[in-house]
Amino acid sequence: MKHKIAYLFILLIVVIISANSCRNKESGWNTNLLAPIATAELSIANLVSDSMLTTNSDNSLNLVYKNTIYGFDFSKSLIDIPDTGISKAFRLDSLKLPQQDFNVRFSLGQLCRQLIASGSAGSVFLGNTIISRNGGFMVYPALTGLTVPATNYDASLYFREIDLISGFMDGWIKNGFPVTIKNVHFQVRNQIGGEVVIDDIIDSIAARDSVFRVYNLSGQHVEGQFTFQLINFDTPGSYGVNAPVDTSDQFELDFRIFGFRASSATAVFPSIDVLASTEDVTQEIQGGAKLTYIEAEEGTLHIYIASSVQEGLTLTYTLEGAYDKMGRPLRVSSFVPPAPSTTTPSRIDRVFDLSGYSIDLTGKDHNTFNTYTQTINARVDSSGIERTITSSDSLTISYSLENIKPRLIKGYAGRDTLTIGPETSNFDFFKNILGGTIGLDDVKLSMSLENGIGVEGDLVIEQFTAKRNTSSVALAAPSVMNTRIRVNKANEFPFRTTQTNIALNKSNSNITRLFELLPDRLEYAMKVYVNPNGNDGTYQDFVNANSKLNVNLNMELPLSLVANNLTLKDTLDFNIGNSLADLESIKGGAINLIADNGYPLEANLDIIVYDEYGGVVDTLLKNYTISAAGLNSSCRVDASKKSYDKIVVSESRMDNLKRAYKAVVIAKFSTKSNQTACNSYLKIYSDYKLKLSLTADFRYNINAKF
Amino acid sequence: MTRKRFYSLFSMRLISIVALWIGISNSLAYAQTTIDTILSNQILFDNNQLSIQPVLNQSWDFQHKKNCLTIQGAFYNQSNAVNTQVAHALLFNSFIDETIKERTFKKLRTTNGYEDEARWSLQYGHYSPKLKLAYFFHYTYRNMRQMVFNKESFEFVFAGNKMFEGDTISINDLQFRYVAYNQLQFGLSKTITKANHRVVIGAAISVLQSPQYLHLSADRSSIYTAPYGEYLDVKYNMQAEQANNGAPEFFSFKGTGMSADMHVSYQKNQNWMLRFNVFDVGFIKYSNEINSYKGDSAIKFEGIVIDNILNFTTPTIFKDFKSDSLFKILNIENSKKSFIYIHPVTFQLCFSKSIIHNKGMISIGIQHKTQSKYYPYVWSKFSYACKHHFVPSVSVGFGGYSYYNLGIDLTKRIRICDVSIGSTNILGLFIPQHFTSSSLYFRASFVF
Repeated sequence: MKHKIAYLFILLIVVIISANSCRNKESGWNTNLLAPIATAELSIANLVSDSMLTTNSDNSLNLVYKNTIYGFDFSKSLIDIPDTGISKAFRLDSLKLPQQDFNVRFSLGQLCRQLIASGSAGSVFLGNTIISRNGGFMVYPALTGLTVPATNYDASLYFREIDLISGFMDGWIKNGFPVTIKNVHFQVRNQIGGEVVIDDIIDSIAARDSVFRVYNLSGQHVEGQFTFQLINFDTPGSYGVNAPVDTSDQFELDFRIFGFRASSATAVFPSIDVLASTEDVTQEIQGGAKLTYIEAEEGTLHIYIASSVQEGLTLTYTLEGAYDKMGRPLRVSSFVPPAPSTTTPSRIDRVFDLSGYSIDLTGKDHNTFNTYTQTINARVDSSGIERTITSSDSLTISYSLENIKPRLIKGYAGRDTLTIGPETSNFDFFKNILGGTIGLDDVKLSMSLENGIGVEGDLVIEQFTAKRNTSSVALAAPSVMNTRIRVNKANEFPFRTTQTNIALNKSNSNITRLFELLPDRLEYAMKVYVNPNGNDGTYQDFVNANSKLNVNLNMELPLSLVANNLTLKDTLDFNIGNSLADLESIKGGAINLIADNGYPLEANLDIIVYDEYGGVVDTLLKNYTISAAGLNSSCRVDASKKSYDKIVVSESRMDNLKRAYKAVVIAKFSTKSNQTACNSYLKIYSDYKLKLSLTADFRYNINAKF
Repeated sequence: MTRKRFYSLFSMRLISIVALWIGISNSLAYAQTTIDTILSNQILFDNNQLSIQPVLNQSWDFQHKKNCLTIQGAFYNQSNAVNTQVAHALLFNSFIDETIKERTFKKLRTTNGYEDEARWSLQYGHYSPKLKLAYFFHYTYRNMRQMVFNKESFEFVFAGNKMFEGDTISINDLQFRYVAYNQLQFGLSKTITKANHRVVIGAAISVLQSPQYLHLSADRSSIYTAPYGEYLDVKYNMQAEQANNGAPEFFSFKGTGMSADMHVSYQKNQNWMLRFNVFDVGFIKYSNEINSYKGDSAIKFEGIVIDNILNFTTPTIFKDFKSDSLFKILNIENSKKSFIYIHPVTFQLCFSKSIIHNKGMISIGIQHKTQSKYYPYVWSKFSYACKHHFVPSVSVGFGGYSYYNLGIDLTKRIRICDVSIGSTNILGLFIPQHFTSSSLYFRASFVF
């Protein structure tokens, strides 16, 4: 703005200058710049990672290739725990009722009043006499046919009525009177139904003595309200001697009822255990494996309960010998609500996560295999409401261990033969080589069997073939092929894999020929014999989730070779882009490519640039030859050789290159015939380098604004 | 007395003092205007300092007309080597083709100079009979470039380094400076007349505000370009300050400063006059947000080193060529710091003699600037007052950064307005491809 204001006053010069400006829309000026853009040193180390390169004592190089061509995951194929499920119905006959106690008391005074009330002259007289002599002594006469009126008792607080499968009543019958009583006949009757539950006659009970009686109530119908009656008893009297008179002396019965197992009961049930069961469940595991222990990576415990009991139940499931990582046992509880009716059971369905649990599989006696031990307890939770439970009521429990995926198993893994292949594995070591031939002085291949499984085995390699396109070379190694190779088990504590190495070289195999094929895939077939010697009785096999048997290839390829148009292809990012304003100023020119080759290999380069859709944008280089460095008398390069080429880049070509997305480099390497005079194979040394320099020879527009 | 009242009185006194100072300054400024317009003839918008229009400027008779309003603009460029066509192309952003460059290359000497300046201004002057002083207020926008360079530097910049493949470019005594600023000036002058003698003394002081500044200097530097451009051997000893990057705001205060002008003249009758002027004694201080670059080192540059040629993307290379990375490669120290620009001072001495019965006037003068490689500029000018208040003039000059200059200007009074248009090198305007200097100026003054 300020310039415009100033130049308003020098209009004339503006006209003059603009007249010149209008003739050319460009501004600034063009310069011819010649400057380095980039430089890079390319060595074998750039082509391969450090871990793939080793240096010999004479500084010659080896290529090292390590790869796992096969990995056998035993944790998937060997450890297959089938789902385990059990369904069991529990009936009410297992129902137990608690012990109940009751007492009957009858005093001498009460007996006297019964005598007086009888109206018989003798009885009245005797009754009055005893009462009158209370606190003193008298001679008791012999009496027979004495009775005591029935007395009602109410135990309905415990149950109203019950049909017993089994049950007992026992107790002490104490004679507190000062005289012997005989022929004691008493009855216990249901108060409402009138059924006699107990009817017993005791021959004699000495004065101040007692007897113990047990009564079997099995099959009886017992009501909670019952009547006790002393139907008859006799006394021989005091045999003519004075005996003390105390009207508070009592005839006592102290009874308890116990061991009730009911087929039907109506009661306000208290909280009581109704079920307790411990049992082993054994699984059959394929392959003859006998497992003593597993650690679950994942899995679930699935419990399904159906109850027709019209009372709430608490069910507790315990998988014995199962503990989580914190050492807590696997115990799960579920509440089963009362069934709405006997025909409509209540149901619950629960799933519990078993991840991380370790489980003992030796059974409750710890002397078996593949066996879970589980305990189920059920307890009625009292609701305070009177319920009727019959023998048709049931409790059905189904539980299953599902989708158990162990991360560790122990025991005996079984004896098996596993067949592997024929399978094909990609071999990418020569992936960038398009064609040509290579002669290798030697190849050292170590086939390493790395066993991370706590199981012994034998490996037999039946086939090992290198393939490229339709060509193939089969490994010929008599000492290795079709031979049982023992693979020792891994060590559990501390965990350590075992290694079994099979060395192949040009002296014991045709391995050199195998890799001169420049294979892109390897085909193999193997057999693995698991526990070839059977069960040794130690049950120390183990397999965990990471247990693998890997077949690794460790290849060492000395870079001593003969190459004939060995063609490598690689794809590089090549994106100049449109956003770089600086490039807009480039008005064409050339890019100089300077190669300073320190390798005794001649290279022939093509660089083709593609757009993002795969269309060819440009061929930057075609048959650009990088001359091989010469060799001295020691067959080593001591002076690099420079080669030059120019890529002409016009302004339109520059615009075209802005569409570039990828560059494909195709390089053909050859050892020259005159160099082979040194040896049939040329060694590549660590100090060999190819220095590449890109320089710009551009016409560059400078648009400086002052 | 309360503190508040104390501050109030103190402030009023301070304002009074400032007002008095401004009044004096204005008087001085007005005197300068008077000097410029009456005697020195538009020296503020003509940096060749040729005195023109001596007759009409004297016509502002402030005894009768108390006010004068002037608007003016000027541009000039001069060099001993760079074609005016190149200068104009750079200034007006047009294209410099190979032909233009070749013409310049042929003129290049071992050491070359170039300068230009564009300015426009608005000025108001007033004469106070009470104080017997003329004072003025003057606003000017100025932007100027000055450059000293050797032949190879120019060829390198305008032709590139390819022509030096396998050879070395030497860069010695390279100086480039660009500065633009707003100037707010106050001045006064006093005219003392006694018999036939008249002495005018004037002075002015300016506040400068600069939004843009760029300076580059390099010495004992060289660039060797290897065959095929395989590498560059660069030795450099350079320093640069840059205040124009991203700061084109007209009124931004990246730099502020002050300057002073002074004028003395003696005139006898209408016969002759001797004048002495000193301009632009001052400085601009730039704040610490200014980029400063310094480097004194030598490197062998082989391009961006790519660690892994098989794993790079092309834009990375070009990204690495961005200035920050380049500075790093060249080990150029970049810092933010303040610095002071000392303005080149201009000295002028001029003698004018009235001839042809006071209808004509001839002047000779000499001017010098405190700029590197600047040679004293000597000039002479003849003016003649024709009928109808029309005054044509012609001038010749030598020195400075130029060779010879042939100038012409035309002035015409139209009622209360004097209009002037002219050039100190008319040939450079119309044949820029063959001349290395040009100028153009315009002025309109209104008296009332």
